[in-house]
Amino acid sequence: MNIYKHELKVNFITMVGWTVTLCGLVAMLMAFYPMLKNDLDTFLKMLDSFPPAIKAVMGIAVDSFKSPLGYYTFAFTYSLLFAAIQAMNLGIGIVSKEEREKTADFVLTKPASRVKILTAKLLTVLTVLIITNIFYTTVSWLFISGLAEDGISVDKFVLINASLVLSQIIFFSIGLVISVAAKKIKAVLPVSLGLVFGFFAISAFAVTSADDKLRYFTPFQYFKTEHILINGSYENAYLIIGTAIVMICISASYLLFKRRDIHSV
Amino acid sequence: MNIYRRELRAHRKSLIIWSVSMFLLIAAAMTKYSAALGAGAGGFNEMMAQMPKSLQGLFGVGVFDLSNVLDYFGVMFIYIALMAGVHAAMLGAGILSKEERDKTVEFLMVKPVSRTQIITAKLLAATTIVIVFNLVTSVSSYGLLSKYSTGDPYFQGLTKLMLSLFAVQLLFLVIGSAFAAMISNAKLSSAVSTGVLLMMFMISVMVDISEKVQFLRFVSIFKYFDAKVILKGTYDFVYPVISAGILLLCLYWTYRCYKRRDLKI
Repeated sequence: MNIYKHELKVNFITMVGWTVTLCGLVAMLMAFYPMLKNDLDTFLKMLDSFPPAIKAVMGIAVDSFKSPLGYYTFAFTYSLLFAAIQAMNLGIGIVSKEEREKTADFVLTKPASRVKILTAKLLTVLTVLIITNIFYTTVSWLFISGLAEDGISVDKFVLINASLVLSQIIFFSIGLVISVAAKKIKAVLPVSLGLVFGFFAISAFAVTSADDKLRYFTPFQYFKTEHILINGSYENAYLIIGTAIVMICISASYLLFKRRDIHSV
Repeated sequence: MNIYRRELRAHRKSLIIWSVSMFLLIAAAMTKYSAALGAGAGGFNEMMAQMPKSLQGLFGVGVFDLSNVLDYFGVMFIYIALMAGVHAAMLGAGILSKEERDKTVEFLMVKPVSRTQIITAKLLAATTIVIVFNLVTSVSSYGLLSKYSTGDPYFQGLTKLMLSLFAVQLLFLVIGSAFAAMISNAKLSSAVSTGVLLMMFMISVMVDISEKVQFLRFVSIFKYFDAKVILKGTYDFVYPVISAGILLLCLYWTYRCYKRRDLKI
């Protein structure tokens, strides 16, 4: 319990920083919506003069961006990028920092087993992620409901936003297992940014279709907003893979951390 | 000279990891290229051209003709630049601040070399690393493009893009080093450099979707070297001038701050 409280206190300012960044980001991107909607309307009218085949393809693509929720999925791509960095930083940093900052022997000599220490740290991360998401969801909901002219599908909104915290948990567990398996992590940011932007780049330009095999390799693709908008559900295959990754990574982290040689000074 | 060599050796592993990832990423993206892309739906490009600029930004394709191998590469250039930018910023911030982080700064400072010489050696090492990374990216791109090219000329365009990539790398490198020289906390200086990079990336996204915030393009380095403009438009030579200004300013700032600052032991 003490470890939990201490970790929360230590991570508080960073958490506030990320929460403000995420809320600010979504607010800024959503502010462009009214202008975009005008452009979309004129474009849809212009589309009438094109062959029906193109009209059909483009019409669907354009239509999906027309509603505030549809446009929100565009903004969500970037919220997810930022949220992933937050989660990955926590994953890489929360355990490795004790060794890096030479506080490992202090923590490990407390009458708490390593399992307990890791559990307390995991709970802290969960708390941090949930608090961040509560604020993020509130702000994004205010914007979407404020911009909507007719009703919004609350189910779909909840599914999209829940996928933010779910993806964060996946990123966090990947980061955690890497940090526990690595010999030494000298600095968190270079490792975590490298990983997140690597995943992001695969997702942004190497994945071209919904049944692309590369989708398995990047958590950015596990909860496709297009799929949520159309079907109102997650894709089962990816939900299972995501759960499996989290379970494997977390249990591997416990095993590795329990046996890890920890060098003091 | 010793410092230079020592830095190169220290960064060898991370450079190899980054280079291999970059190659794999470009390779994965290029396997998705097929000459039939985009051209298949007759009139598609023509329609794209009539699309309002904001929507082109939203779809991410814009003025590019996806059936042309160079244009296809142009679409993913921003992500390549983003990756290279992260690498360079982390390198620039890390190479100066790591001595204090790893408590090796006393060892370095008692050597018979001035601080100016130390910074020069470190910046030269970082520049060498960035050049190697750029060469790996260029060679992979030339190789892969020639493999997939269907006869469209790409050599000149790709050369321009790779020179732009180098400029982006150098700029983020000196931005990172300027912050590292200014802020004595290693964690904070790399966080600030990352923040600047992410903000510039988001600004480039916003400039793409909105006409109203065009003035912001001067704030984002990614917009200085926009593949769309480099390949399709008339390049505005005010950007290289601003870039040179930023480069000199950051270099000056790095030397000035690092020479006068109190080192944390």
